[in-house]
Amino acid sequence: MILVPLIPILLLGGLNLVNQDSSQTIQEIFVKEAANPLPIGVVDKTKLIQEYPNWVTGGRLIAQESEELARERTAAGQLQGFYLIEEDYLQSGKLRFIKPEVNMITELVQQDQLKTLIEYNLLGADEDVYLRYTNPATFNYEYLNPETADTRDQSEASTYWLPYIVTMFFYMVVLISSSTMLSAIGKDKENKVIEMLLSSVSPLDLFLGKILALGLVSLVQMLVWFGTIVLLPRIGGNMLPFLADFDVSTSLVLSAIPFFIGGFLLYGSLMAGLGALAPNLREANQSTFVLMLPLIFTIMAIAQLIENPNSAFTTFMTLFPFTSPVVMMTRISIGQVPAWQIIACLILLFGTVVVVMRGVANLISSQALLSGQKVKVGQFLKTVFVGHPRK
Amino acid sequence: MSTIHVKNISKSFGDTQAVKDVSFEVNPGEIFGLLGPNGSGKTTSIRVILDIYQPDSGSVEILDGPMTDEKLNRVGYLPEERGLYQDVEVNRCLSYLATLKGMSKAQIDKTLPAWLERFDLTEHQKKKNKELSKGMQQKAQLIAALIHDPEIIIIDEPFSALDPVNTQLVKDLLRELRSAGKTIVMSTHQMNQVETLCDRLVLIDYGKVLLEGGLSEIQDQFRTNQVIITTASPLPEKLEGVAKIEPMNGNFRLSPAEGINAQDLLGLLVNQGVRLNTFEVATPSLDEIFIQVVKKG
Repeated sequence: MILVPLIPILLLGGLNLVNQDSSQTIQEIFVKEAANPLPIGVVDKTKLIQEYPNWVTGGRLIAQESEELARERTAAGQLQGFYLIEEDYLQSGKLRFIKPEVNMITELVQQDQLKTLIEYNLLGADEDVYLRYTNPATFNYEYLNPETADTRDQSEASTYWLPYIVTMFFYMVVLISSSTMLSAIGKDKENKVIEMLLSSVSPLDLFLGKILALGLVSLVQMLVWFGTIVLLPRIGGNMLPFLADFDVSTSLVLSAIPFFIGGFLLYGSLMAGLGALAPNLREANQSTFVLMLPLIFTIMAIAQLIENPNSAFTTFMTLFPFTSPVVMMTRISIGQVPAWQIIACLILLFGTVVVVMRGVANLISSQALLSGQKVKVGQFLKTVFVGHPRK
Repeated sequence: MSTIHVKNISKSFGDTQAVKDVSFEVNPGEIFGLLGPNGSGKTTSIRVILDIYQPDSGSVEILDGPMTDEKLNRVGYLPEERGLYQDVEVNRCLSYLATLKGMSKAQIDKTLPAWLERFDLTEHQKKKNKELSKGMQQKAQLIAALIHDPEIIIIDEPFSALDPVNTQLVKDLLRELRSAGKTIVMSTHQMNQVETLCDRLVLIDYGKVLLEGGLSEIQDQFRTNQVIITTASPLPEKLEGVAKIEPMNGNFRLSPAEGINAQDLLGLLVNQGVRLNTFEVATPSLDEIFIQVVKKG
């Protein structure tokens, strides 16, 4: 599980080694090898196409005088095939492609070239008009941090997508890692090992041992996954152009550590408490949704958070301990976050962690672990925060 | 000085009183039977002894004081509800449980093979627990309770799921441990095993102690003046001094008439020409005592 993200790194690394020309994209690597190098003819019965500029056709599309000649040249192996633009093309939009054999990969590329060629000629064979048509407006978003006056160009893919990726990533790692606590305690109960364990260690030791061990494993997992996000653009950026735009800094990864630890301890403790109370894993799983609602709400509000990173709503979500581990990472990935918010967020988060861990430690009694009862989440949370006598 | 001293413990779960004012003592180097019908409070008492449950009132002294983390490592426990990590290999699971009892890896590596050998599990040690039969899992669970060489061994139904050969193996082991000075508390429904193994016992029902003491003391306490005889010739329908004759598996159980004791009865039988092969004052079985006491209690 921890090493799954290494698979794309290994794949891209392997391709890098095999492919000598590092300027090639993955598409070029595969398509060029599969493609037939012969040109394709174009028989234009409508006289629509006036020009065959090389920047559109790449020299692959060549005008043919007639259908008969195109057929002869194709049969003679001088052409890969030919497109036939019928006289009623402007009414029907239909084209014919005549060739001896079908190759899906090359045809997709070639069809795009012909479409571009037709669009270019429909727009009067004017390069500027065509280019404007393909990109009629370029919006430039700028994010202004009221405190630091830091402006960032939102048109860059990394600026636009990075907060979404970081938010989703953090949501997943906090959810997955904290669920391991539920599963660990649930499995002890399901395997009926719990009484053996309780005859050797106290419930508190059991809880702390599990949260420490699983916390460390989850932290390593988070760092491997996040590290992959850092490494992927550097290793595969030349082959996957969209990745090259992402520049995930190491400092972003390092700043993730305290918020991940806080998020794991908070949700992991709650999951452990739930696992201790519920009679079995199935029953416990039914109640996890309610506990995870703040995180789910964060994902639902992701666009609002990213588009208005300094609004009162986002600031509240940044400080609220049940959403702060994820939202703070969203904020950090967007840009500068005021220092007081980072400090307040950490104080509130770890303060809540202490309260929840104490509450859950009291709740995880031998009696709860050995009996199991129908879990009511409201009652559970009340017990965690208000208190409950141990054993 | 007793090894375990249970003093007036009570424990309730909601409205249910599981244990009520229970007291008993377990002496060093003895096998002590903790008996009682299902739901009588045996398991709750054991959990209180092990500090898994805190009693509502009363206290438990173990090895001369309250239970501590260090003392927990000197106790071996085979719980009623057997449990091993089903998807984990036998040797890994046992090593982990031994680690929780404070054993080092070197100690485990030294000790575990001998235990696996003794319980005939060596060739199964790489199997997952779920691949073992119930009897094998029971033996693996016994290893988990004994591997750290505990001074006190608390075992709940140690013979369940074991065939006669393995039952004998465990009985021999328990006797051996007793000889080595270990204190053993055994909870079981198999009264014949209690009779052959236990030095003393306590009988609990509805959370209360109904009976406590040495095995022979208790049997004496419930002994009647009935006698069991085998004869070389058939018995007449009526005998002087005998109130009731009950045939049983080739023997006869005779209940003497009022005012006649076993000694008198022997003389009367001889005088009436009964040719006796054996004459034995009937000792009540624990089964009989158990049923009698529980019904009365």
